[in-house]
Amino acid sequence: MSDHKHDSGHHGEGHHEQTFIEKYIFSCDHKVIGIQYLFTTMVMVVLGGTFALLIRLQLAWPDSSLVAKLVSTPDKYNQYLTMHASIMIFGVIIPSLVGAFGNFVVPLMIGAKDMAFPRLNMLSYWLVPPAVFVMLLGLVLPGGTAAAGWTSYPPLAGAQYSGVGQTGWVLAVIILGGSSTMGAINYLATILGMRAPGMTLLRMPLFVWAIFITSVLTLFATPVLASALTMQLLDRAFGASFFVHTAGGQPLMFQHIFWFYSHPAVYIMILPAMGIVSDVLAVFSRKPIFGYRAMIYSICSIAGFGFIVWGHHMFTSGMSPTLSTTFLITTFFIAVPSAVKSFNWLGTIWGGSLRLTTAMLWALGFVGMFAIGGLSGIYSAAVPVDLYIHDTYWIVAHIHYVLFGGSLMGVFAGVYFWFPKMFGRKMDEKLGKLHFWLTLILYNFVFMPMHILGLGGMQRRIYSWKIYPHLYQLQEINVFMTVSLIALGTVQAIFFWNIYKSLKGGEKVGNNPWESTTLEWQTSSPPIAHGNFEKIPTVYRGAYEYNSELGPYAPQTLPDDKVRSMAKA
Amino acid sequence: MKPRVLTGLALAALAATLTGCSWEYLIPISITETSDKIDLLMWVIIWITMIVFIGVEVVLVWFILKYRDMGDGRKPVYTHGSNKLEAIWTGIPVLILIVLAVWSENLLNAEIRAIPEKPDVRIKVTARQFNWNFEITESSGEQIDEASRPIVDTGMHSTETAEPDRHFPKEFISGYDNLTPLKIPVDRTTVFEITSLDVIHSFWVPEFRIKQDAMPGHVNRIWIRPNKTGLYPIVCAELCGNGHYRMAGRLEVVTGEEYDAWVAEQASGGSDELF
Repeated sequence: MSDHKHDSGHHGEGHHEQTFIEKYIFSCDHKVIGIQYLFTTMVMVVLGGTFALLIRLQLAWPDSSLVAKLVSTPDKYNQYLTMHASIMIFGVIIPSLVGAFGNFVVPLMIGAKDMAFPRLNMLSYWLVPPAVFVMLLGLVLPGGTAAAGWTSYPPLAGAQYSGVGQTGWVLAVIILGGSSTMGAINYLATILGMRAPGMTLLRMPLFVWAIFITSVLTLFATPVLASALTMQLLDRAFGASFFVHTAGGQPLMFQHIFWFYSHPAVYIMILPAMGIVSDVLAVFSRKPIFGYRAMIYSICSIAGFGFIVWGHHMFTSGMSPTLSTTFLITTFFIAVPSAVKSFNWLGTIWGGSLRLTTAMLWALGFVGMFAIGGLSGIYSAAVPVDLYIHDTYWIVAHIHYVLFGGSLMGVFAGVYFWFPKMFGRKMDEKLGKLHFWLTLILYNFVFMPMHILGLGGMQRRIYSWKIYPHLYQLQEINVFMTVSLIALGTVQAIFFWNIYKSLKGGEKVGNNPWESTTLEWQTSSPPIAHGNFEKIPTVYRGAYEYNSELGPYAPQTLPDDKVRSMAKA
Repeated sequence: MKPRVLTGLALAALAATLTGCSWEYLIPISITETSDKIDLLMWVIIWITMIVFIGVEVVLVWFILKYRDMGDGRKPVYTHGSNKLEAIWTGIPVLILIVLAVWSENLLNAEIRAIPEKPDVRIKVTARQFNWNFEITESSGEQIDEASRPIVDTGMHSTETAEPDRHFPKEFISGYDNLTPLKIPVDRTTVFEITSLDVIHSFWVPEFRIKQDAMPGHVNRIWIRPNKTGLYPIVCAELCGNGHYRMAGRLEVVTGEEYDAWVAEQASGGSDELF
């Protein structure tokens, strides 16, 4: 997959001379693994985007013979939408936020030499490419890939109604779940056991807090998904009947178990992005994060509530009224911590001195766009309204505002922010800003109309709207969205070009180009291969001391008097 | 500032008019009292979220413009936050959400879950890949014996997986127009008892607002009392396989007399529209 050769500057001292393969491919170094994750997800995002393009082409021009060549049957269409969601969720969002940034940044931020279990970490990464391979194998097999949506509800995903591609999908997701679980154990052990002296829990940057709580979610939720998928596998391959209603099974049970994982999973996909955004906003506002503790309480309460709202995906499934009332209440309340976080971000930029770098623009874009995704979720919490918008494009809009306008913007913020630390070079700011503005506008062009489609009564996952007269009026909107998507995809070339160009000849930077206080910026860029720090630093204060009485910024690793003399100089 | 606001409003009005002209509706019409109440709740949420959304975006842009680094050496405010503010912006959302939660719950209990014991019409809805089968089991509050139950089946195409030509020939689109509509009476209560023979489907008439999954091995019930006659689409809302997109049906809300005549006709003539 990603065997890009990176110039890692320093060479490790002492140890035996590492071969190329040990150093860049089967490496146990968290920094290399983080970068491997990052480049893997870049490949995946192109793949997932291609599937999205196929879906949208079909929806815009169902009569075109060119589209007919690409999306030949409704079954192919269902396969593409399933692959789009699966690749984007399991292959892009989670591996980039948790895998790439979690790996690269967390040990550096807490002053550790590496992750607690480097070999396990290597295994976590190397489970991803084969899993994706298994998932996509269906493209060349008879019967195609999985086609039951990323939710894979039985009986449609059962042996009777789906082919070998679905088995591949189940196996792939079990493997990816294993990878996530290993990663979670690793992060928990690293954060709880390997912090530098003086790095108390309440001095940790919010990104570390986000990964910490995300790992708790992953550790408790992912095995549950594995159990649901294992039952599905037993049903498919060994004639069991957990979810086969004709043999005493319960299709609805799968939905409960699946969402017991997959609702926490949506928070797994957003919390790390919130962490990145918090840190980026503080650095470029030159101000402490507003309400540090409130932010931590919000992360924790999102995680807590995240486990008791899964039923809001199933309000129309006919579960018991008592349950749906419970989920109605909890779902309303999970909106609160997200709102609190948004207000705190606004509080952070209030009264600051904003340095509008590309990373900062992405973080501000996140605040603006995540608000839309959060607010459109309230409609689904109100069950009577949800009975209308469930399974329509309104929900598709909601998920894309949270995952693209939220998670992916967080990823972009992280790439532009930590790129100098990864490779010792800055990315091109001009290209970066161009990429940001075009993406921001075009992304709204693609997804904003989905709200209108949903209210207009267009259901999700349909191959064509030409059956129903009441959907004809949505044609122009569908065409507009598809044209915008083609433009949005094209614009991403700027980003990839920027990465390539900056790797080759970006402006070289020192340890701390952004004048940040956190630990990863207090060592060389890129950090030395073995051990990250010349010597393990001592931490003296919280992560956000900007413009305090000590000086413009107070690195966590410097005692007060040194900070003062640095400010004088 | 003032003229600019006015221009903005004028443009917004123009946009609204234009879209209004080319659009039949933003949201399908509402044909039951329940759906009116659902719409009211939805509009209240739309207003609340719109206000919050505009507020957040305006504040965000205002702060960006006001506090961007001008290079004038202005010193940023040093603060770690404010407990008072945290309490305010936690408390206010909580209060708003409590109101919405209580409202939603009451609406559910008073309307949606209050399925009448003795409806005027009871219809058994059986979903299968990829059509609907409607069997009227009770009419005017009386059981109809099995032999003479009116049945409407939307056999839009056979259950074989043969795919129609993807170019949607005219006759295929007119397939929708030629579907036999299921008739239900206006101003009387109808209960749908929904189940599925194979995978999960979802029974949805957008004008009712309510959708209900058809679960194999389960019977889920919804009830409605339409107050407008007309022809409405029946939609499958849950991915159910390659024909999901064309699992269509039609529903006709007719006057009580017309309905009674239709049921009598169906019962005497039997139905040759079975499968």
